Amino acid sequence: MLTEDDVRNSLEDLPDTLKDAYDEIYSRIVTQKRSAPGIALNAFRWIQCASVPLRSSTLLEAITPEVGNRVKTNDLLRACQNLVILDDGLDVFRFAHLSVDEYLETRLPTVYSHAMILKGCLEVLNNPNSWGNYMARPKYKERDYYPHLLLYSTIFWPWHFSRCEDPNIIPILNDLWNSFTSGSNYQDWRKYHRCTVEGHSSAQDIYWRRVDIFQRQQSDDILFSFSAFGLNQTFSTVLKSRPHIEQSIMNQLLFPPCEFGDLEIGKLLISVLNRPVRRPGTAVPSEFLLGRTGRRKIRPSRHNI
Amino acid sequence: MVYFYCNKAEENRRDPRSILNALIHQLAQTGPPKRKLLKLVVNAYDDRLSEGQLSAPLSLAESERLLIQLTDVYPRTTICIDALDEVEHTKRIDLLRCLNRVIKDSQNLVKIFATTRMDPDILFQFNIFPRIELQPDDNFHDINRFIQIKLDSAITDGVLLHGDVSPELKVEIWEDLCNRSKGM
Repeated sequence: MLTEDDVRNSLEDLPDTLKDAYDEIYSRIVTQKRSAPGIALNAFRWIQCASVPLRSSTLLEAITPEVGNRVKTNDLLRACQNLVILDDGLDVFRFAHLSVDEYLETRLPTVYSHAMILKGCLEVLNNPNSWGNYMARPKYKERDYYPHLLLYSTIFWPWHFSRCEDPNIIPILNDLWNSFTSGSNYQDWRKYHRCTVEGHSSAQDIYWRRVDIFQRQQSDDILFSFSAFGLNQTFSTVLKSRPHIEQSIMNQLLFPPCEFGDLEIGKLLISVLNRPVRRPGTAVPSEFLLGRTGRRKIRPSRHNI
Repeated sequence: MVYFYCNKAEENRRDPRSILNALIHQLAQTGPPKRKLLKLVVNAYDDRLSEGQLSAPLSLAESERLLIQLTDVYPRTTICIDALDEVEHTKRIDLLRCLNRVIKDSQNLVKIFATTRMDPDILFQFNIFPRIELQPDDNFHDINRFIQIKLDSAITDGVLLHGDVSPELKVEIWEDLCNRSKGM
């Protein structure tokens, strides 16, 4: 604004409601020049959907992975046009007010935000240089704070994945996903996970109980992670591509869906178990495997038959 | 007096069980000079030990029971909870019901002082208790003072019209912003 009249005109146009005010700020953010809109939206997604808050430097690393281009705190705050503030005491970026979070939910669908964070996590995990950079001792547990980016990606990619298992969204991740699941990246991740993370069988949060079960499984077959973390669609796609699965593996795969009530995975496994058995003597009745609670959860109810 | 600040961004600070546990933690300690745990809590621990249940976190019902017993130890307990509306929406009702029962079932006086926005489920649970509602007009003076400070610094820093703002325009801006802020 250059003149007094400009100031008077904008006073006349002041938004009437909080939503109008946020609309105006939001459109100002997305029409900024060069990389600023991308930086702001990326930061919004991380602050909105990260499973635990990240230290400010980790968040900057997450939104601009290339070291050469890394944004500084002030650049980020400027790009976000005051919707985000830096909490000096906790050293985290957070929304200026809960209403910002609520407004952004109407603008940035959370399922898509989870997909973008998952994309960032997979990029970190697919980078062979990642593994040598960090040491993590003692192991990271439920309720710990401030994981660094590799650790965050290691722990929480399945958490984000389970929140964006949507056929419209998964294709965005195709290349990254293929690179993670084929080759050594998956095994590197699994090894690192065991050295740096610790689940607990009676953790308050179900996710940390899933982590525990994942870590107890001996086999390095990728199907186990999908079953442990309840990734329904991915599990089903991969299972269908396998012509034959050993009975002993089957038993292990069934444990997480019984424990956590993942209906889709449970039903799918039972349908595989009920296929005509080629070799006599290998069939295990599903009743026996599931236990009472699991049976109740997984068996189709009488009304549905 | 025990307190808790809820925060939607952190798992530990939006989950009713964590909140109740934090309150229990504060009530369970005796005052200085020797900080010890109240016998009640030690007994609860021993009970769980004998049942082999030690590693499982307290369930909501267990926490509630313990909280009621603890409030019976003190002649008066004040529980302060900031931003109740930031507790996870789907689980919030459990916390509200628990607090409500603590007030009713404790033998001694329990006061709960909570701040929240007017979400219907919270209003419903605490319907019978007194409320101080803040309307946009109530913080009018604070907002006016905030606008004054921001306006002054925008002029001093030269952000607004390079600092060249006539006193009339300044008053005009201030009045306009004050009138239209409506509690925002």
